[in-house]
Amino acid sequence: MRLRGPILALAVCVLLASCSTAGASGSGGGAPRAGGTLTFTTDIEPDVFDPHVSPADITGVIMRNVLDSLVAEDRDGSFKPWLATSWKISPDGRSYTFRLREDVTFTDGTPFDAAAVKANLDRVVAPATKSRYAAVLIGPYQSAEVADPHTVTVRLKRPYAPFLHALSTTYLGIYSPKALREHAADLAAGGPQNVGSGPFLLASRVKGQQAVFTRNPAYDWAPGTARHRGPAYLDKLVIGFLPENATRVGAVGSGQSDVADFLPAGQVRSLAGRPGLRVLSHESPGLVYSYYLNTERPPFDRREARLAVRAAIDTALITKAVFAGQYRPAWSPLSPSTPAYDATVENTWPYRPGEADRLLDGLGWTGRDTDGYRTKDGKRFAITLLYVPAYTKAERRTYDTAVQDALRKVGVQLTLKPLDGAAYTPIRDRGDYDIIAFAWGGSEPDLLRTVFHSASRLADGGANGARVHDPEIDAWLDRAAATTDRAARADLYAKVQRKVIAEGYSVPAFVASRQLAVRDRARDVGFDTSAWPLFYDAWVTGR
Amino acid sequence: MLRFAARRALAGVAVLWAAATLAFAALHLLPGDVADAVLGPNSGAPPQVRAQIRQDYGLDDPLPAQYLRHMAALATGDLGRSYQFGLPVSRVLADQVGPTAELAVSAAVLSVGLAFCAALATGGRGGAASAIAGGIGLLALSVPSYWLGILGLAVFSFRFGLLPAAGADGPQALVLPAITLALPLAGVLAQVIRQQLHAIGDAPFVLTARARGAGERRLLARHTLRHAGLPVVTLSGWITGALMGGAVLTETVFARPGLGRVLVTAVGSRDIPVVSALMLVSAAAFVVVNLLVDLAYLVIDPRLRASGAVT
Repeated sequence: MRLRGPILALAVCVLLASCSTAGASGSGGGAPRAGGTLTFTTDIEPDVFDPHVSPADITGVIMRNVLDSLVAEDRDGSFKPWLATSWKISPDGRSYTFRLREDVTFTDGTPFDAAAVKANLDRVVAPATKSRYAAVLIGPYQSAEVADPHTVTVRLKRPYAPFLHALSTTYLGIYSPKALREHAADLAAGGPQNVGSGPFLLASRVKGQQAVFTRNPAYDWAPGTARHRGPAYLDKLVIGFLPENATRVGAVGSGQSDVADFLPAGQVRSLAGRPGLRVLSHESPGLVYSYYLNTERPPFDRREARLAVRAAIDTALITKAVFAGQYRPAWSPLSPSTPAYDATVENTWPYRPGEADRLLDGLGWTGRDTDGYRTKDGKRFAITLLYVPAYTKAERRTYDTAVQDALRKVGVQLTLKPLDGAAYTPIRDRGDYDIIAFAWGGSEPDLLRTVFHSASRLADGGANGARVHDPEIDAWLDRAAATTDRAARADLYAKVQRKVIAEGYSVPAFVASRQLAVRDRARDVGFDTSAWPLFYDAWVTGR
Repeated sequence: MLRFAARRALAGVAVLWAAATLAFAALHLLPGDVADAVLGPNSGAPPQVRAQIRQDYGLDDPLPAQYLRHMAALATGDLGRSYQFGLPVSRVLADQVGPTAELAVSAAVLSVGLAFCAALATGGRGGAASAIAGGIGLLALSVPSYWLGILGLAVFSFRFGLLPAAGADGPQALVLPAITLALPLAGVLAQVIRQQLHAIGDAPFVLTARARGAGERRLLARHTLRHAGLPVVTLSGWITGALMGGAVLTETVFARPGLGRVLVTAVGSRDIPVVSALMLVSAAAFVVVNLLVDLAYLVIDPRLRASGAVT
């Protein structure tokens, strides 16, 4: 059914285009005005609304409206005050002292103070919370000490440069301590019990349908990165969950929704040309969709085998075809919009099928069986890519199939093996695969440590899918995490990217963009550094 | 009659027990670890979190102990806690039963109504009208409801703005999903009814009635319709299943809250407590439907009452 989606969506598009809705809604520019409702529709609904527990992007996006953070990350990777007005990092990089705002109140009337910060951080790391991401995000957290009601010192077990970034995410957003005390078990459900100090309150939630937010009229502590001060403009924000692409696109096309999230790449062009609609695009930072080659066992324990497979895949052509020219091919494991992205690796590993053949011949895979696949000592060059269909978008599966086809041309048999989540994890954890593929959003180049540090094993909560054990990379990543000197960090991360490319540990595939269809009446829907939509500055014309 | 009811109730309980046991067995015998299912494939959870999960859910206990605990809890009405949502299953399902029931009942009424209308309009006559009706019926039953839903949306919601595209607010939001779910079903039922009407056209009792001078209308109302209705009643179990299966797609297309969507995500993430609760709910629905079917036979077919076949 998932595969039929795009075709049907296309059919609906053609239908709609031929009907040609007339008249552009909305007016000219003008100053933001308060009032009105904005409806935003996205594809997946969070299982768990508590970002301290859930690793889901959507949970982070949604709860950003309710939960504020201590600091805010700017586009350039610098940090601006938010609930903390200033902070000091000790010379050894192991303690962070935050001076907190004194005028902040949670929407249940509880004042925000140092004890609230401590209660939140302690909750994240408590085993009973069963945090699936936030706890990893502040890995070396040791303790928080309340110095005075508005000063808190966080101690770390070791220097950890990504700490401010971690604090800036919704995953470490600050709940009212009263909500944590009285409703800890209910926060997963998402509702008025999820109390923060944010610009909106989570007024209600209908599972399988929508979440409704109302303005926090007392809000006066916007982050330094926001465009305005004071309460949000919108009276009401409705976030609807429409899993079917065709329905979501149709809803925004007909004005039943003001903004549609995650446009299928194939429909961006037709939507962008429609009156009353525009398409916003923001390249997602973080780790691009990459194929991680298992370096711990044959055939990818040999560098030549990895480089051969990489040279055989025309990522530029496949990316263009699968995403209708909307996404770019990737050259580095990091997305270009991530701080410390190294542009020097661009175009350094072009598509060269001849090179692939040469390398494979050199490895002794010179025979051919009746199906045309390469053989050595009577054994076929056959590899497997594991994936979980429920967590793999149709477009990615199309991409994987194109890669399979490209490899067949050089005599390599790639099998795409679907598994359910529970069956996948143990196989993945013990490294019983040749390739796994994934992308990971986020604006922190330390993500490279998650995928290439030898200590980031999959079984331990890391994501070292290529099972890389490279002392040089480990040393660079450790040093980068231990220094707060941004230039030095950028230099170290550039080294990591270059080595990953030189060794062929992964095959970066494409750089995804978050694309929104926005009706004219919806204004100033922003993006944060992770390319997640922000609603604090958003406003609507009319109604 | 009382003994009949008691026996049926006992059988119902046995069915429910079997359903719960099957759900438990199926999900525990699949390869892989429940803790991984709880965590999901894309999480970066350290081993302590996994250990905490195993402890909280009693996953380290032997399987028979887990089974007994699960059954004992079910017996007291405790459906357990969802792995995926981190909430009591009863809370996960509470808001979803209503919308699904609403959709299923309206689609059932609609499809049976449509089927009888279509069959009656053309059933008695042969020739062109009958052929056309048959063709439409065939089309309705072979069109995927998914496609029907998208088409309905494109025309009535996106083009003319008559009906909302998504959600479950008010009766307007029910129109498209109910039609989407009902049409293919109505197609099947209409075919069945038409064939039955056709088959009994030459039955002796029909001839007798005709010979006594009964008109076509009286014949339908008093005699043939009852017979034509029997297979529909017999198909009730199938209809219930089709409604439940169809609800999954319909709820997804129209973003309606409902059990169908919950079931899909629960199976995908191996959320055992939710899956077994849903199996119980559907088993209970089948038990009730079958009970009603047996009662309906008694009403429709007087011969059964006389022979006491179901006591």
